[in-house]
Amino acid sequence: MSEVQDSAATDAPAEAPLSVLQRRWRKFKTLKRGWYSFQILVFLYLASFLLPVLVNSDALCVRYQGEWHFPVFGGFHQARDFGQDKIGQVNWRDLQEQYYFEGEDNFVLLPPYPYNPLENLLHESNLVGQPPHAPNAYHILGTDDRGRDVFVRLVYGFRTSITFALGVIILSYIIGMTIGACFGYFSGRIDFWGQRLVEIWSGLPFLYTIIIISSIVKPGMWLLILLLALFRWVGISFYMRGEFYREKSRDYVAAAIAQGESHRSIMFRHILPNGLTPIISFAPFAVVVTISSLVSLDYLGFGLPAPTPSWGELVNQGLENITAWHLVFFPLGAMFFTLLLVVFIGEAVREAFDPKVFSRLR
Amino acid sequence: MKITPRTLSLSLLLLAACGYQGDPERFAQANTEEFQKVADELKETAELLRESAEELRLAAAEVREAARYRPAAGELQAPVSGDSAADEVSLDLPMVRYEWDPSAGDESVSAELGGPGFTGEGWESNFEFPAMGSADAVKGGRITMYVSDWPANIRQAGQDWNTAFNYRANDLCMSRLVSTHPITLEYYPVIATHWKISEDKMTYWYRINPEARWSDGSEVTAHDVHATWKLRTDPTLLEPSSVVTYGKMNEPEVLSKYMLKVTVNEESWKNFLYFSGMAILPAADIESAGNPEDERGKAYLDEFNFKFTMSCGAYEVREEDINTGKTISIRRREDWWAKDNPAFTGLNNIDEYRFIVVKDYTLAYEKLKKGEIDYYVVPKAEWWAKQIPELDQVKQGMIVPHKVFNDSPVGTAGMAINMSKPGLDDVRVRKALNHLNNRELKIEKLYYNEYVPLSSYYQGGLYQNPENVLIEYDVEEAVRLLEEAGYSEYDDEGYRTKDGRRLRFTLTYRSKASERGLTMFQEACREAGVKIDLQLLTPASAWKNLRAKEFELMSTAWGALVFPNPETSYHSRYAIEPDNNNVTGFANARVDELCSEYDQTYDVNRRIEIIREVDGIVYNEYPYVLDHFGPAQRVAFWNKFSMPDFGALRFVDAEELMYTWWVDPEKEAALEAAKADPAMTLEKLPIENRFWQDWNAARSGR
Amino acid sequence: MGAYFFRRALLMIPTFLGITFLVFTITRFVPGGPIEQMMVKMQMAESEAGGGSGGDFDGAVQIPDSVREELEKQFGFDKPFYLAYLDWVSDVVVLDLGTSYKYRQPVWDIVKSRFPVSIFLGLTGFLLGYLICIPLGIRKAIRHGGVFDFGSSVLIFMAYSVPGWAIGGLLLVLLGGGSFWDIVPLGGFRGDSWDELSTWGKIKDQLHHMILPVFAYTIGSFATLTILMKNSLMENLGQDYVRTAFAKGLGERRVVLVHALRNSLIPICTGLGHALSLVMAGSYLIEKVFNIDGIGYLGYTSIIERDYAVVMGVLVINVFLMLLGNILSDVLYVLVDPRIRFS
Repeated sequence: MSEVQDSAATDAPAEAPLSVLQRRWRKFKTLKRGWYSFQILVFLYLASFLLPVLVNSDALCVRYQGEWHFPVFGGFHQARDFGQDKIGQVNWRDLQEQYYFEGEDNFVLLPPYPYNPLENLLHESNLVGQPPHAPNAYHILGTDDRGRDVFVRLVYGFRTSITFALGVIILSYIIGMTIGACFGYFSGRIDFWGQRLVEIWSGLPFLYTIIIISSIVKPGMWLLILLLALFRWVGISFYMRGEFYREKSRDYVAAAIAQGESHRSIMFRHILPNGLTPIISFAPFAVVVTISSLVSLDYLGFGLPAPTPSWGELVNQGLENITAWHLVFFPLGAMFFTLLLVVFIGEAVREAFDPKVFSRLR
Repeated sequence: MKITPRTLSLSLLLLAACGYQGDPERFAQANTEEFQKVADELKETAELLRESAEELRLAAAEVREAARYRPAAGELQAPVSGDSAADEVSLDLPMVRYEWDPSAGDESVSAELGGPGFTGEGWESNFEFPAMGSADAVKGGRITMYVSDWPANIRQAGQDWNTAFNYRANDLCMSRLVSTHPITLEYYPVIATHWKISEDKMTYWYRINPEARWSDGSEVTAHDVHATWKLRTDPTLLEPSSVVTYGKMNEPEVLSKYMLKVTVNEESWKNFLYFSGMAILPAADIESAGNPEDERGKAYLDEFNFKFTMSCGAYEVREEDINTGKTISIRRREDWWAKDNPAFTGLNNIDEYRFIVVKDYTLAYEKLKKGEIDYYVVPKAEWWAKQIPELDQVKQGMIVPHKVFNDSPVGTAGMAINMSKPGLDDVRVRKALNHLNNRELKIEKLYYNEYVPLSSYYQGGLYQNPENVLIEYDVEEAVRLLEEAGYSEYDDEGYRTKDGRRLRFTLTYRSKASERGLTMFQEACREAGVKIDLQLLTPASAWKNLRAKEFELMSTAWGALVFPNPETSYHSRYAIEPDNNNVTGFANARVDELCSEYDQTYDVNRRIEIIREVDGIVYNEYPYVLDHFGPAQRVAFWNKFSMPDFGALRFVDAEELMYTWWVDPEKEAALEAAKADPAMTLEKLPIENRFWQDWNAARSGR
Repeated sequence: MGAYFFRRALLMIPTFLGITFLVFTITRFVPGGPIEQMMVKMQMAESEAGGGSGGDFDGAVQIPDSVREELEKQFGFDKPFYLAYLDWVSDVVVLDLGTSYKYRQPVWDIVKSRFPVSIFLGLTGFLLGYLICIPLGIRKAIRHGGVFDFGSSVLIFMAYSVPGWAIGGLLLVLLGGGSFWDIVPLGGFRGDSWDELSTWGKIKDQLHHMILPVFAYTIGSFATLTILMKNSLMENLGQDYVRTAFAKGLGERRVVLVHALRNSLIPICTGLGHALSLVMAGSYLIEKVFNIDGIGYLGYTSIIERDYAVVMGVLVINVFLMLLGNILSDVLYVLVDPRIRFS
C-alpha cells in the first residue's frame, strides 16, 4: 500500500511554477489583436535593418570580367572600372541594362526595390514632367518634391522614427522610473526637496531649450534623443511616485521589510512590477507622442538634418503640395498604421499585466 | 524565427523579387516601348505646333482688322482701355511739367535767399520729365494686400522700422527734397524746387517750395530738414546705418525759412543722393514738448511707435485705420499740397491701400482665390505654371496673372564662398563648384522653366557685363578642375583627398524652402567626389555667421540697389575683418581702384562702365556659386485695375507695381457681375508686359 | 496635511526663482543674445534696404559704438547679470513684466490682448475633452472588446496620430472657400466687423471662426483622456468590491456609475488641478495655420526673435500657473482619495 501511495506521491508532475513574467507573456500571446500587432511591428522593425539589402541602389553582387564584387557591403566603385562611361560612383541600374545589351558574361544583381533615399530621380525616363510625380509602376508611391522615391524614404523613415521613439522611451523611462521610485519610496525629505528640483527642471520651456541648443550645436539623432528624453522623464516620475506612495502602505511591503530585504530589492523586485500598470498603458502614448514630436520638430526645422529621410519632412512636403495626394496620403497613412499597431500592443500588454483575471461586464 | 510555411514563402518571394527586378529582358522591352511612346508623342506635338502656328498667323491678321471686341449675344461689352487696342503700344513717354510759383516765398528775406521772386538763376533743377503715370487715371478705390506679420511699429526711422508695411508707407506718405526719376534716374524736384552743388562738390544748397504743407496746414521749412537730420544722426534712435550714412554730412545750416545749406565730409555723388532722398519728418513732432535734446531719438521711438507723424506727402496713416493685429491702411489725402501739380499726373490714384495680416503664405494664396486679397505676389513657380492657369477665376478673367519685365535690379542669389577657408581659396575649386550646380535641371524640373541662371553680379539692366560667360552644369569639367587643383586621390568612401585632407565643406542655409535645390547640389558634388554637409540655422544665426566670416558655404541672397555700391561687397579693406558685407573675403587691386574712381564719378555712363568692369573681374573669381533669378515681376490680382501702357515703373519690384495703377469703375462693375454669373468671361489682360524691354531695345537701336 | 500644503505654497517662491533665474542666465550667456540679435537685424535690414526712389543705403560697415552703448543701456545689459536679474525680479514682484523689445509696449498688455484667444481655445478644449471623453471612456470600458470599442479606438487613434495643425491646414484649404467648398471663414479669430454685430451675431461669428481651430487643437487630446478613463474604470471593474456589489444584486447601471465610476475618476480629477493653465493655452503651429493671434504664436516668435522680455514674461505666467496647478492637483488628490496622505 505504501508503494502505491509513494508512487502516487512521486508520480505527480514536478513542474516548476511559471514566473510572473512568463505568465504575463503567455497571457499576452492569447490576446490575438495585440499579439499579431506585436509580431507585425517586430517583424517590420527587424526587417527595416535589412533595408540596405532590400531597398537600395547598390547592387547585391556584380560579376565583371570574371571578378566578383559585392557593392552592397560598401566601398567606392568607380564607374570607369566597370566599363560605365560616367564620372564617379557607378549607377548600378544603368549598368545592369548596359551589360545586358553588351551580351557578354557580366551581370548585376540588384535589390528588389533598387532606389536609395538620397538620390533624385529626375533623370529617369519613367518620370516625366515636374516633381512630385504620382505613383507609377516603378515608383509605387511616387516621388517627393525633388524627385526622390517616396516609398524608400517612407521605409527608411520608419526605421528612424521607431529607433528614435525606442531610444527616447527607454532612456526617459529609466531615468523617470528610478527617480520617481526613489521619491515615492523614501519620501520625506528626499521626496520634498527632490520634487522642488524636479519642478524647477520641468519649468524649463521645451521649445526654448531646443531652439537655443539648435543654434549652438548641429543636432544629430542621439542628441535629439537625449534632449527629448530629458524633457519626458518628469511625467514618468510623477506616475511612479504616485504608485510607490500607494504601494508602500501595502502589506506585502511590510512583509518584505520585516524579512530584512534591502531597499533596492524591495523597490525593484517587489513594488515596481505592481506599479507598472499606468506606465505600461502610458507607453503606447509615449511612442505616439515621441514620433509626433519628431514630426513637428522636423516641420519646424529643428529636427534631424537634411537629407535624412524622416516622416516629418514628408508630412511637411505633403502640406506644401496639397494637390499631390500621394504626398499627403501615404506619410499620414503610414503614421496612422504604425501608431495603430502600437496602440493595439499597448492594450494587450495592459490586459496581460493585470494580475486579476480580467472581468468583463458582459 | 521558426521555419514555418509563412516565413519560407516570404523568403522565396523576396528572392523572386530580386530576380524579377534584375531581369534585363523586361527592362529592354519596357525601354523600347517607352521610346516608341515618346516618339509618337513628339510627332503629335509637332503636328499641334504646326497647327498652332497657322492659327496664330490667322489670329494676328484678325486682330489687326478688328478694332474692337465684338460682343456676342448676352455678353457684356468688356471695357477697353484707350483707343489703341488695335495699334501697337507707343513707346513714347509723354512729358509733364513741375509747376511752381515764383512769387511765393519768405517775405522777410531777399529773393536770392528764398524770398518772393526767386528766379533760380545759378541753380539746377529739372522741370520737364516723362510722366510717371497715365493721364487717364481716375482717383478712388481700394486695393487689399497682405503682410506676413503685424508691423512692430509704424515709424519711418529708428530701430526696426524696416518692415514691409513701413516701406510701403515710406514710398507713399513721405516726401523728400529731391528724388530720382523712376524712369530716367535724373533728379527731379519734390519738396525742393531748386538745388545747387558747389564746384568742389562738398556743399549743397536747396530751395524749398514755399507751397509745401504738413497735414495740419503748417509750412514745410528748412527747420524741418534740420530737425530730421538731427534725429537721424541721434544714437538713441538705435538705427546705426542712419547714423553712419547721414553722419557723412555735417549739420545742415538753415539760411532762411526756405533755404538750406549742407556740407559733407567726403566727396561722393552718393552723399547728394542720400541727403536729397532723406524722407523729411516734421520738426513739430520731433521736438514735441519736454524732450531733452540728446534723447530725441528715444523719445521719437516711444511716442511715434504706433502714431504716424504728420505727412506732407500724398498719403497718410490714420489712427482709425489701425486695427491692431488685423488690418492697417494707408489713405490718400485730399488736402495734399501738390495734388494739382501736373508733375504727379497719374500717380497716387488709389484711395486706400489696405493691408491684412496673414501669417502663412499658403493661406494668403487661398485668400486671393476667395477674393479677400486683391493683389498677390506669386511666390512659387509651380503655382504660377501649373495651378493658377487652372483656376476658374482665371479662366473667367476675374483673376489676372501678370508678369512685368522691367529693369528692376535682380541682386545676387546663390551660395557665398568663404575664400579664406582651405580648399576654397583655389579659384579652380570654386569654378568646379559652379559647374556642379545643375541649374538647368532645377529650373526645368523644380521651377517649371520660370527662371534664368545668373551670369553676373549685377544682373538685369544697365550694369551687367555682357562678356560674362554662363557656367553650365558640367561634371567632367568640374572633375578636370579639381584634379588640376591637386585633388586626384580618393579615400575609401569615394571622396577626393589632397595631402590626406578630404575635400569636404559645410553648406549652411537658413530656410527649409531652399533645401530642395541644395540637396540636389549635394548629390552632384558627391558624384564628383566632394562631400557637402548641410546645416540649417535660424536666419539670424546664419546671418551672424555670414558677417563674422564663420562659414564655408552659405546659401544667401542679396537685394540689389538701383545705384550699386561695389565698395561694401568687394573692397579689399573689408576682406579680412568681420562684420561687413564683404562676406566672401574678396580682394582685388583693380577693383579697389575702380571703387575709388566710382565714388567720384558724376557721369552716369562712366559709372556704368566702371561697374561693368567690376562685374567682369568679380565674376571670373567665382566668389559665389550663383543660382538663378526670376526675369519678371510676377503677380496675380483681381481684374479691377487699369494701368498705363508701361504697366509699372521701370525699376520697381513686385511689391511696388501698383503705384501707377488705378481702380477702374467700369472694370469693377464688370467684375461684380462676373462674380455673380459664372458663365460670363471678362476681357483678360495680356499675361506679359514687356514695355521696358522694348523701350530699352528701341533706345539702343537694336 | 494643512501644514504640508502651506509649506508647499511657500516653497513655490524658491522654485519660481530657480526657474526664472535659470532661464534668465541662459538668456544672458547664450550666444545670439538680444543685443547681438538686434545688431544682426539692423545689419540685415541695412543690407537689404533698397527700392524707393532715392535714399538707398549702402550697408554700413560697423555698428557705431554710440549705438551699441545705447542698445545695452536700453535693454539692461550694461549691468552684470545677477544685478539685472534682481532688477527684473523686483519688477515682477510689483507685477511689472517689463517692456517688449520689439513692440516697445508693456509685456503684460501684449499678453493680455491674446487672452481671449487662449482662453477660448483652452476652455473649449477642456470642456469638449471632458464632456466627450468621460462618457466615451465609460462606454468603451463597459463594452470592452466589442465593435464599438474597436471602432472608436480606431477613430481616436487616427485623430491622435495625425498632427492637429496638419489636419487643420488640410481642412482649411478644403472648407475655407479658397479652393473647394465655402463652409468656414478662411482663418482669423473673429470677423472684421465683429464689433458691430448684435450679441447673437457675435456669438455666431465667433463660433463660425473657431470651429476648425478648436477641432485641430483638441483632436489629439481625446485619445489620452478617453483611454485613461477607460483603463481606470476597467481596473476598478475588476476589483472585488464590484463583484460584491453585483453579488448583492445591484443593477449594472448603479454599480458602474455610482460605485466604480467615483473611484475611477481619481486620476482624471487630479488633472483638473492644471485647469488654470488653460488661460495660456495655445499652439504656435495651429495659430499660424489659422492666422490667429494667440499665446502660442507669441511665445514661439518671441524666442526666435529673441525678444527676451516677452519670453521671460510668458515664462513667468506659465511657471506660476504650473506651480499653482501642481499644488492644486495634490490637494485634489488628497481630497478625493482618502488613502493618500502626504507627510
